[in-house]
Amino acid sequence: MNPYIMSIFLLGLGLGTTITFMSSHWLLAWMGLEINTLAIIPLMAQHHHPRSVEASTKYFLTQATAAAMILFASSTNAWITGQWDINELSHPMSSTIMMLGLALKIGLAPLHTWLPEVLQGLDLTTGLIMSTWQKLAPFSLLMQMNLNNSVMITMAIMSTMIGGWGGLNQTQLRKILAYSSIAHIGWMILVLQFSPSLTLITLMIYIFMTLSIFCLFKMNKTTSINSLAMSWSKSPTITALSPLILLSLGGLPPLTGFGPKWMILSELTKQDLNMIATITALSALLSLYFYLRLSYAMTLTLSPNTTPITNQWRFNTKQPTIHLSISTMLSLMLLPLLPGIMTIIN
Amino acid sequence: KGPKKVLVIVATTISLWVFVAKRKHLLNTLLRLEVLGYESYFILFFLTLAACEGALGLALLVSIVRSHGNDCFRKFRVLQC
Repeated sequence: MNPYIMSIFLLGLGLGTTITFMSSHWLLAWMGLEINTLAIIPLMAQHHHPRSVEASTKYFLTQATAAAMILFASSTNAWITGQWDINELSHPMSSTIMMLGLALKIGLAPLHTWLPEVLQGLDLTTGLIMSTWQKLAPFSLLMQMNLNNSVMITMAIMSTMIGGWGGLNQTQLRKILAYSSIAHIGWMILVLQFSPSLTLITLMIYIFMTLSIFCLFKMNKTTSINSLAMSWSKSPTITALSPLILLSLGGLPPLTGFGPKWMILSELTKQDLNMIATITALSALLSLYFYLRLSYAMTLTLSPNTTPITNQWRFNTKQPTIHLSISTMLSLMLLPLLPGIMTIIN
Repeated sequence: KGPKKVLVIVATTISLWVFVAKRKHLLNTLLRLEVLGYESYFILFFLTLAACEGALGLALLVSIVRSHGNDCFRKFRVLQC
C-alpha cells in the first residue's frame, strides 16, 4: 500500500482512540469509535482476497451495529435525564443497551461470534492491531461508566467459558488467539465493577502477551499448528522461550500472566463471590489446555519424531525483532513488579 | 412529546431487528444501516459520519462482489470452521 495512505490510516487509528480517551461527552466518544472503525477497515481489506474482504465486511457490520447501539443508548439517556456526560449514564435501559453495544465492540460473550471469523480472515499484523489497539477505546468507556450489574458478571463468566471451550477444537492459530482474546476479556470485565484499575492492569498485560504471540507467529510465518511445529528449525532460541509465553497467556506462575488472574480472584473473594471465583478459575483450565497443546506442538515434537509438515524454506527474518524481544521480556518477567504496578495504577 | 418518543424508540428497534435478521442480500443490510443513522437531533453533525460509513459500506460491497461474485450473505462461508 502507498506509504502515505498507510500512514493516514494509522494516524486515523491513533486519532480515533485518542478522541475516545479524552471525551467526556458521549457523542464525541461515539465519533472516536467510528473513526477507529473507518480507519481499520481499509487496512483489513488491503489484500483484495476473498477471505480478507469477507472478514472486513463482517467486522464493519458488527462494529457499525455496536456504534449505533451506543448512539441510541446515549441519546435515550439524554432525552430522559438530560445528561450527556459519560459518568452520568443513569437510566437503567440506557445503561444496559450501552453495555451490550460496548460488549459487541470488544467481543464479549454472547456477542462474540464475529471475532474468530474476522480474526481468521486477517493477516497477522492487522489481526494484532484489531486484538490490541481496538480494545482500548471501548474499555476506556466501560471503565468510566459506573456499572452495578449482574448481567455484566454473567457475560464475563460466559466469556471465560466460551473462550475456553471454543478454542479447544481449533487448529488455526488466529482462531485460537480469538478465543484466547474472548477469555481474557471475560476476566477483565469480571472485575470491572469492583476495581477498574485491575481491569486496566489486566488489559495492559494482555496487550503485551498478545503482542509477543503475534510477533512470534509473524516471525515464524505460521498460521496453523502444523507449521508452528516446524519453528524449531527456523529459530531454536525463540522456540525455547515460546512455551513460556504461551503458559504466561494461560496464567501460570511465576510468569506475568498469573498476576492479573491472582489479583482478580483475590478481589472477587474480598467481595464474597467465592462461587464465581471458583467457576472462573476452573474455566481458565480450558484455555490452558489449548495453550499447552501449542507449546507441545512447538517443543515436544522434535525429530526423530515424524514431522507434521514438509520442511519450509528458512529465510532470514527481515522484520525488526525488537517488538518480539521487548514484549517477550515483559510477558515473562513482570510478575515481581506487580505490587509496584498496582500502586501506580490504583 | 410522549407518543413521539415511543414512536422513535419503536422505529429504532424495528430497524435494528431488520438489520440483525439475516437478509438475502448485503445491499438490504446496508440500506437498513442508513436508516439507523437518522435517529438523533444532531442530524447535520452525524449525517457526515453516517455518510462516510455508508460510503465505506458500499466500497466493501463492491469489493465483496468483485471477489466472491455475488452478495448473497448466506453463502459467505470461507472463514467458518
